[in-house]
Amino acid sequence: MLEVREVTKTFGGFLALNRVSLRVKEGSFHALVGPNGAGKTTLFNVIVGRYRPDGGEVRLRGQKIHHLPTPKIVRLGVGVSFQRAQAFLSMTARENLMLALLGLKGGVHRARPLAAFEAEAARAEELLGWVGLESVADRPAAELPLGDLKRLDIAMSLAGDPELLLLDEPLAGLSRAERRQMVAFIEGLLRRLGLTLLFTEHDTDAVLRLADRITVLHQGEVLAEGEPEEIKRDPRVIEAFLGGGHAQG
Amino acid sequence: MRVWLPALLILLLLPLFLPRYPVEVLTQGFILALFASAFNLVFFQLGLLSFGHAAFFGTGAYTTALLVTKAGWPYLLTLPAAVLVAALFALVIGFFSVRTSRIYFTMLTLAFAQLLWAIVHKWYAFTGGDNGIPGIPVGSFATSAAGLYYLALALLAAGLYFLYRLDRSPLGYALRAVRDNEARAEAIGLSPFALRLLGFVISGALAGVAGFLQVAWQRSAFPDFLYWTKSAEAIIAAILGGSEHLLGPALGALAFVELGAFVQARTEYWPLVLGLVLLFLVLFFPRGLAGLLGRRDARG
Amino acid sequence: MELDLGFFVQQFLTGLATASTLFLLAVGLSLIFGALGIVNFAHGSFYMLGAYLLYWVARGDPEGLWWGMAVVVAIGLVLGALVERIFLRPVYPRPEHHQILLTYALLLVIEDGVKILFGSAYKSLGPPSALAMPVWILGAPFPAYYLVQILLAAAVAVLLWLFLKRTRVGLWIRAVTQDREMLEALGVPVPRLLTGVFALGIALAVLGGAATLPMQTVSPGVAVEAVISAFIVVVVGGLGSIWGSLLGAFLIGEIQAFGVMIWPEFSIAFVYLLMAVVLLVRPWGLLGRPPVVRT
Repeated sequence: MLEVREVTKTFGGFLALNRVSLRVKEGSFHALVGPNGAGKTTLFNVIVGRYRPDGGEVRLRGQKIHHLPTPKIVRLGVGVSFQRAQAFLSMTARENLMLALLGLKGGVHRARPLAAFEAEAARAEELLGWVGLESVADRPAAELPLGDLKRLDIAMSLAGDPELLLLDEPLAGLSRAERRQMVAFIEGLLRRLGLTLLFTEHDTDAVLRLADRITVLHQGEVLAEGEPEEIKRDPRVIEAFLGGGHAQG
Repeated sequence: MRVWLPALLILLLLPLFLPRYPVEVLTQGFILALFASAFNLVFFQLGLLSFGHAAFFGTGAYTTALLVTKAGWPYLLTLPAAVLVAALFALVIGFFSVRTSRIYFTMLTLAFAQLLWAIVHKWYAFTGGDNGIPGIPVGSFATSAAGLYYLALALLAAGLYFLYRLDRSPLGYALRAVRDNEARAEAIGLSPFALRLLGFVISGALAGVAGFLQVAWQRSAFPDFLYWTKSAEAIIAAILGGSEHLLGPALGALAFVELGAFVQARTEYWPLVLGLVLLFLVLFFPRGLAGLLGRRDARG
Repeated sequence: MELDLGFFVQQFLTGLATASTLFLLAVGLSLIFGALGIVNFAHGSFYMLGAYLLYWVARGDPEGLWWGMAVVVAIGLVLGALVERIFLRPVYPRPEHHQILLTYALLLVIEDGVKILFGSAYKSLGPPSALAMPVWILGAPFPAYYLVQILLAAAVAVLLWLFLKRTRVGLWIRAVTQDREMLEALGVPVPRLLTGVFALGIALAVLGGAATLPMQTVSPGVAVEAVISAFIVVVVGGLGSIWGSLLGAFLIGEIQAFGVMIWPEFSIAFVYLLMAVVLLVRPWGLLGRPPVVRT
């Protein structure tokens, strides 16, 4: 589905990613983990087209995408959700979703009121149902609690009917109880839709529950890759990351 | 919202009862209202403070003035040309300015507008330099106080209706999406640069309409039309009237022009008075800067 | 056109003199933005005011230039401190457009204030007699006073650099932009620091304005021209960077000096061309810092 090959990225002399390779198989839930500064978010941003890599390539279903800007990549069937809750705070939840639907289809230039797009309204209603936000659909996003915002954000990422979903730290900022809910929610939703997932996360418990494949980054390089059970036992990983990882949360 | 119909009716009947001078002041108010509303498209919907909108007001005005005096076009027919030229200038200035951070944007729009002012101010052979282009024949309709009043009112109403439609269209939402959260906007397939540029060009084109009207109001065109104090008038009107409301900038502009006419009849130091009023508002009455119409919370 | 070396050097030095003025003007703007986060639209007004103050202090006598400039800089420091305390301090937490409106209001008040106090007519003050004769450089005459301007700007650049790099207060000024809370936690009197930075920036603008009076006339309209020039310098050099102001001022001064030879009426076009190119290649300025990517 997604292949990262030998990607290198430097920031003014600082080597943030050093020949990182990674393969996300269709249907897998792939986690990208590592301590702070390991390069998770940098790699995420390279994949979604916010940074251009200095070397290497990124391919989506065999097609090179590392030279494309984010708006083009998301229209190739990639749902993207950035770190921290991201929605358009001046709009209601429903408007956020309808705009996402139109944006991903390239239909924002049509001269009708947003509210008059009936097909999109029906689809937005469906997405709101998926993430359980029907009851707050017409509240401004600025008034929604963080958990609702995160689910709205994921719903927006699903608006383009993606096959691949990219989530950067979907649990950041949530309480322990909220995290458990969110993990169950993501798992249920994505399995039902049959999506492929690549996500970064700090919370090791959540990673071990959700992921069926894990890539560990350390100081800009791939330290290990494998199934959760292998990774858990890998001594290098324990040393570099899991050693302090549980306390870190 | 039913108040607007009677309000419009009153505005339509006013010239029948008022003497010439107040009608002219109101007309000037409409022109600034259109200009400030155009400015506000960039200020509120895009979240960018342009200090160079006089460039589009001025290039629109000079397009009309030059076409009438040099090519002999009838005044009214120059409107599309004024809009087009203003939009073109907005395209070029916007191309360089909208890619930068917010404070750079403000400085750059100002610098580019001052460049155009300097050119218009010096280019005697073409623009008449600092003498401007006086005595422009704008036709009997636009020469009569009532005729120009109705023309300005009609164009203001059309401009506001257009902005109202834009505000509710997907494009309006997309502009605000880029303002709210650029990264998120990109992740739903929106291109921030293109949207900002588009919003800037539309805004510049509308400012050109205001410039077109100003030519008839003064039957002249002057370099001052492009000077930065003109840009500041739009900013002040939009902020004082309430930039979050569709009609805020227009009401702010009417108040600004009426206040200006009142003060200027009494002292030559209108900038000083304006400066002191602004200082007072910013320091002691910041809520006044939320606008005459107050804050708009959610949008329906 | 005869392009002999003497003429070339003359144009180059003229450009340097212009650059000196631009540097004094822009470095204060940049310093103030760096520490306070405010773009001072009234910066050119203080520059213009500096020239008027010198005219007033020296009572039109060119020999009063030296002590006059010292007095004017002192006035600038006091004025800057007062303006910061009274007008700017309340608006630090406010939205950007409040800050811009406030400094724009100051600009209007200063402009009309100068008209009321000094009248609208142009004012000028010749160079002191010791500098009235041109110096000859490679066979070309060159106003001796230009050398004073160049030396003045060079001295300010070096002193400012030493101050920011080598003193504790300089370190605080460089740090206050990035981590105000940290400085406060360390017990640094941040409000007084900000007052000082603004006063210093204004004093530099006032000095820059005063220093031009022996060569140029001043009128209230100079303010707007000056602040636009300062904006262009910091856009080219990078807002918040001292060396950026120096580089930007140098490039623009020289481009104006040589641009005049090519297209006298609209030499300003070359300056804008430079700015456009910089914006396309490095939108944050030649020596500015690129914005952090938000995710």
